[in-house]
Amino acid sequence: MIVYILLSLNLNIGAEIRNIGIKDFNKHLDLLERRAKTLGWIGSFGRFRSYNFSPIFLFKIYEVNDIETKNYIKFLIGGGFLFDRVKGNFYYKGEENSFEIKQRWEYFIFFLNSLSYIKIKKIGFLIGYEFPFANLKVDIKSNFKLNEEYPKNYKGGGLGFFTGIFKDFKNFNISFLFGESKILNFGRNGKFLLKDEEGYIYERKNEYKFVRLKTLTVSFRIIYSLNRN
Amino acid sequence: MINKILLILFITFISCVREITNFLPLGNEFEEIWKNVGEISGDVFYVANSKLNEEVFYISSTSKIYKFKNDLFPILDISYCGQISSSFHYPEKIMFNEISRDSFIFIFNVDENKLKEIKLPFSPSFFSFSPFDSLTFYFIENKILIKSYNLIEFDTIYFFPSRCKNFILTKSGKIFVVTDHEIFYSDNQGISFYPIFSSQMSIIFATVDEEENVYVIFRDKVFKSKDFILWEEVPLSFDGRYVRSITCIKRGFICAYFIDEELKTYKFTQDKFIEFSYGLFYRTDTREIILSGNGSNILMAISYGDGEWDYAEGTLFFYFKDTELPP
Repeated sequence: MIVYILLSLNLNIGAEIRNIGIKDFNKHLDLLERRAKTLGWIGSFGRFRSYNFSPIFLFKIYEVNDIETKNYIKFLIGGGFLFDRVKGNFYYKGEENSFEIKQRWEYFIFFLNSLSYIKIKKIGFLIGYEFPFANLKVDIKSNFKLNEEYPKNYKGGGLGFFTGIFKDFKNFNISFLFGESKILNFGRNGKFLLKDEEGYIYERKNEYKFVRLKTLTVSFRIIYSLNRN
Repeated sequence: MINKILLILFITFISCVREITNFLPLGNEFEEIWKNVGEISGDVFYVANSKLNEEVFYISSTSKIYKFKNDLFPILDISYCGQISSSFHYPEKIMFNEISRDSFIFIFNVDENKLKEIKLPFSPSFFSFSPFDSLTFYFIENKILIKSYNLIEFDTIYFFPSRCKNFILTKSGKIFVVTDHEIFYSDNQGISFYPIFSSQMSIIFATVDEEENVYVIFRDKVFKSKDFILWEEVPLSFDGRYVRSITCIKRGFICAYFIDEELKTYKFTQDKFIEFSYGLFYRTDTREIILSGNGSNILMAISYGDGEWDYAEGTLFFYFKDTELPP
């Protein structure tokens, strides 16, 4: 039934490049790497990308057209997802044994968009909301007993708002969006991720300086309408 | 009216006491951390490491003597006992004194649960069993080193020029005596001593590690020597005056630094200091910090309580296993 409804709607697919404000996590990885090197470990972390690619799908819910002026208002809902992974391999040579740590940090953000395309004369404006749902997974494997148990999965949700301009080309639609969406409360078992003054991220209970995964929505979208009326 | 003011001040004081925790940053698995192993009510006066089992510690508290091996459990109901020294031979014995009666010494056989009280003709500030046999004892009274056989004969064997601050007897029988400005060393069971280090500045702490390297802490530097002739100087990254306690490890030492509301533990190894304080939690009304260890097992006692009272309200214990992993 749901699939039938979705297929009956006008589907638009596309892609987006967006700026991800992942500084908090990259700063934390910086500090972890520095600490590991101070202690004598050899190795390094990768870093999360600043610009990330996302596929986009949008369903047109309704459209109001003025045939004479070719002005229209369209309302679409849809979404996309962002994914990035960072690996860190470290090695430490003790007097008798050698130790190895393999870290893997990855995030997955699924976001829902609700968009209003408004075209008046030749200029097209758009305005919309975004509801992101994020999952951060930290997995560490080693050849010795670790202090804590892994993998750890943190889930967070948030809200975003954006505005922009667009241009129609036959079946294509190119848009430039500007806005901000924040993901708060990365949590697991009643504990949340907290950033301290130095930049380290901790898992804490009842604290308020949460880590924010901020996606500054400076994005460029190309949308292709599969069955444009 | 005065009662009300006092009550407000009391509430203000209570609200000022906070607990500070050094959490482990997410994903930091590059190092060992301190593990909280228990808490007791009252003060702790001394923490001694067993010479026979590295994982065992003896703790003298306000009302009891505790034994620590993975967990704390009381072994003897005795109040206000001071220093503890453990034997080098089986059956395991511990020797301790009382704070109020410092000319008495007690020997407790841990394996057989027997307590013996001995009156001494002096009040020792330091005492130890001999590593060579279980009948010879060493005592330090102010400036004098006394050797005793079976606690019947007492022989004065050496006079030091000033009051002794620390007395270290290694497993191989070497004796190190620390005074305010000098360190004396003997490798013939105290028959002769010779000074190995002297300074015009006051020595804050001195310790000897398992490999018999000597470390001397001053306000701004550490001196290290293996042969007691060549002394290597390493600058301190913190103020040595605020080092509260020190204990040796296999190669190096661990020290606890506390000032105002900041407690840090440093490990000195391979000629550098590494801070490792993760896992520690302490209160802002922290009073005393005692570190004890010998080799790879370290126990730390952190007492807390209102400064107006003679003794602390409670003591937290943290354990650190110094494995091959850094620091």
